[in-house]
Amino acid sequence: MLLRFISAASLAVAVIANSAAARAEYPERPISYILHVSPGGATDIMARKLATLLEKSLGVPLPVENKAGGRGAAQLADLKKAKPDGYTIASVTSTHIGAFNQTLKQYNVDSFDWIARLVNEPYLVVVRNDSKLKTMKDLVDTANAKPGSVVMAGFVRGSGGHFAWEIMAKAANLDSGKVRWVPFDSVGDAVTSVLGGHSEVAIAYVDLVKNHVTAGNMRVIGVMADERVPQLPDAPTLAEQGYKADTSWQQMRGVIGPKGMPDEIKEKLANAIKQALEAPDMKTYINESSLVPAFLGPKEFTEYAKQQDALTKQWMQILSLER
Amino acid sequence: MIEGFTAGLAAFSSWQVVAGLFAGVFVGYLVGALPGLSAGVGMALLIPFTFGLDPVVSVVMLIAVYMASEYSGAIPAILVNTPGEPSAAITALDGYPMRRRGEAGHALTLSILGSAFGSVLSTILLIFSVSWMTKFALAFGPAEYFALAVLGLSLISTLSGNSIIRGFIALLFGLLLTTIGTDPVDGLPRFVFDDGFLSGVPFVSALIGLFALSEVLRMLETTDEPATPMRDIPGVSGQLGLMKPHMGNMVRSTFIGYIVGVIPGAGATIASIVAYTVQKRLSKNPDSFGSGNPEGVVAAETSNNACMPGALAPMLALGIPGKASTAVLIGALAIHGVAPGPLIFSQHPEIPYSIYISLLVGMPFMVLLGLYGTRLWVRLTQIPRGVIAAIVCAVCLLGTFSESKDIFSIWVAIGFGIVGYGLSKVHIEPAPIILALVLGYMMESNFRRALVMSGDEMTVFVSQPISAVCLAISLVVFVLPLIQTVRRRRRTSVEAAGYPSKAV
Repeated sequence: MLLRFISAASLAVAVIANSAAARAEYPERPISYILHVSPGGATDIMARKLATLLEKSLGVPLPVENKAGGRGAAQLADLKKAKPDGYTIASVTSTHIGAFNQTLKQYNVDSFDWIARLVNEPYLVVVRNDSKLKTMKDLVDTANAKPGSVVMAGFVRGSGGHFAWEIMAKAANLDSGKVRWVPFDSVGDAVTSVLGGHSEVAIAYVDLVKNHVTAGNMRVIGVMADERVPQLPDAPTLAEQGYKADTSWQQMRGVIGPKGMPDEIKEKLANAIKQALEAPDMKTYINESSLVPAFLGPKEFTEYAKQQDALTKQWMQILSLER
Repeated sequence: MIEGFTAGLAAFSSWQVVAGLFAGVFVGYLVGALPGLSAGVGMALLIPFTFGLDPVVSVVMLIAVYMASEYSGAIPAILVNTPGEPSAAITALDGYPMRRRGEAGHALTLSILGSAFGSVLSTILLIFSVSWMTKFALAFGPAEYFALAVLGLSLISTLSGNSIIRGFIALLFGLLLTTIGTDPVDGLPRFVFDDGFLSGVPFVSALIGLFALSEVLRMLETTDEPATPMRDIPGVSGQLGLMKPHMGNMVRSTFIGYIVGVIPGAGATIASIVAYTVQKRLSKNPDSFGSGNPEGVVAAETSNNACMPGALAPMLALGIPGKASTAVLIGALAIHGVAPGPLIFSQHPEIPYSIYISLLVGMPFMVLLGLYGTRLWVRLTQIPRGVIAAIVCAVCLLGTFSESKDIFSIWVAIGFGIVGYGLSKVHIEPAPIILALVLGYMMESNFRRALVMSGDEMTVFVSQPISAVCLAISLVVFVLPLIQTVRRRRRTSVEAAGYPSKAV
């Protein structure tokens, strides 16, 4: 006890006296990295790659723990209990911010420290190759002409993809109620439903559809990003078609920690993550998975999270007003 | 196809691929035998080890784990009424009564050989039908999934043993449980008192509680009972001979397993339930199902193993992960930059063909491990019940924890153990509850999805051919056994009236 107190005190002194020395001391034991997904999925694979790279640069092991369940509930409960000493970090995606406003109201953006954003994934509007809808204008016109005739597949109401569609509809001056939003258990299921001809349109990600597009089964009629996606050079952006939707609304992946982590530790982690994203192995993975590198450090990431949270709240309100 | 097989065979000339296959079968055998540790979780745990491997080696190893664990889930199901894999819950219905009669060796032999038959025949079906089966997989939309779930639930009247009323009580209790969790359409929590229930009642915890822990409690009632007598197992050739009367059953169950497997979202548990009830209806001896009929074990085990190659069809040709296990396979391939889907047969033909070959080549190895393993496993029945109860309890709780890494799931399992024990006292069996837990969410979410799509137009369920046929079959399947029961009862009451001496 006494020893621990002395070591803690001396660490505290070191932090105050010389932050460089403190930085040199952290990390001195394994850092656990808690994920909100089960093993094997895209988020899990990327996190494991990141952990391997961070192990090399930080010099300590980064055991990955999968705490799936309840859209992050199990993971966040663990993270909330952990000390903000930099030895526990966790994965975060846009889904978390949605959950803060829906199912996990006991948390909000301020409950955690935002360490670094890793990548972004733009939302796409896809149809089957034999669909009559060739452009976003076709979609908007058909919906206006025959309300309810277009069935759009996506993830649950209130998810990132759902808001993406609401943002697009607003940009197109379309009453979003004229299109039937059908919620599926995953975005992948929504894409399958379009392939099977059960739904006309889906809101999806590049990685889920690029092979179907290449094979000629599907077509992308709109990309919600500033520039075209390298993997889908023929797919036009929304802006090219004259719709000015907020392209900052994308599916994000990042790293968070318990509230109250020292700034030096956050900076050190963020720098290591930034380097890891530059590693050739990681670059290949990001490119092959059709992700967009989008690193942000602690300060900018916190700002970004707050901004996304405000947008989410705004849309939640609009949608519940609609109901 | 020939070039594909050449590429696949070329991959098998490397010793790493063969070593990966053997290692995978062995690991899968253990994963399947451990209750709670399902095929998907076991495969996911291996993912980090595949980072440094060649993509062919890693996919062959994971396929072997998948294949072997689907088989070995039957071992604890037969020996201690504890399904090692969810689908083995159906195996336990007849496997465990057989073991209680001292026929553990017989039941284990049927399960390994049935599994092997199902795997091989189903793999051959996969090789020849992969391209057009994908059309069938895509034909299932919300209306069709709803009808399929109704069809599954309608089997209750065949599945519930002696009392249809008790079967219904169990089924409705299970359906009630599936209302807990996040609403499938609005994403809002429903009857969730603890965050642990946000994704619904944890399935593995419920399964382990209802089957294994309630069995442990029953074991405690009779600690003094002597161990069951052990009957000799015939030699390996004699074991093969046991399969002769079951050929028709195995072929039927394989086709059922394969077709159900192709449908994304329907899994090995549904396949076993369907094959089991079909066999029960066709059997000359339907009343002995549930009290140790070998046909039940063969149907359940053949179909759940046949399901697995079926699940590979939409995964390979469309990149659709229909189940947790195939989702892990897609993840493992993604690490190496290989994406299953419409381009895999032209860009990476060695992947699908080495999967086919590993399914066929791994089988003899799995059979040998299974047949010789049977001799060891049967000895377990000689261990005193108290010791078995303690071991089962520990392994099950560990398995539950390994699935979710959350203490909460252990409490849920214990809760279900007590509930299951209580229900067994009033002769309510756990199988219909499991049926409801597997199908309840699928039924509800797709019902609502279909209605959102059609604008609340109910006719959508009967205007599509697949869903209309499924609903018609479910009506027949549901009503027929009820009529038979009523008739039988009337006949016995008539007999009782006519020959009063017999009734006494």
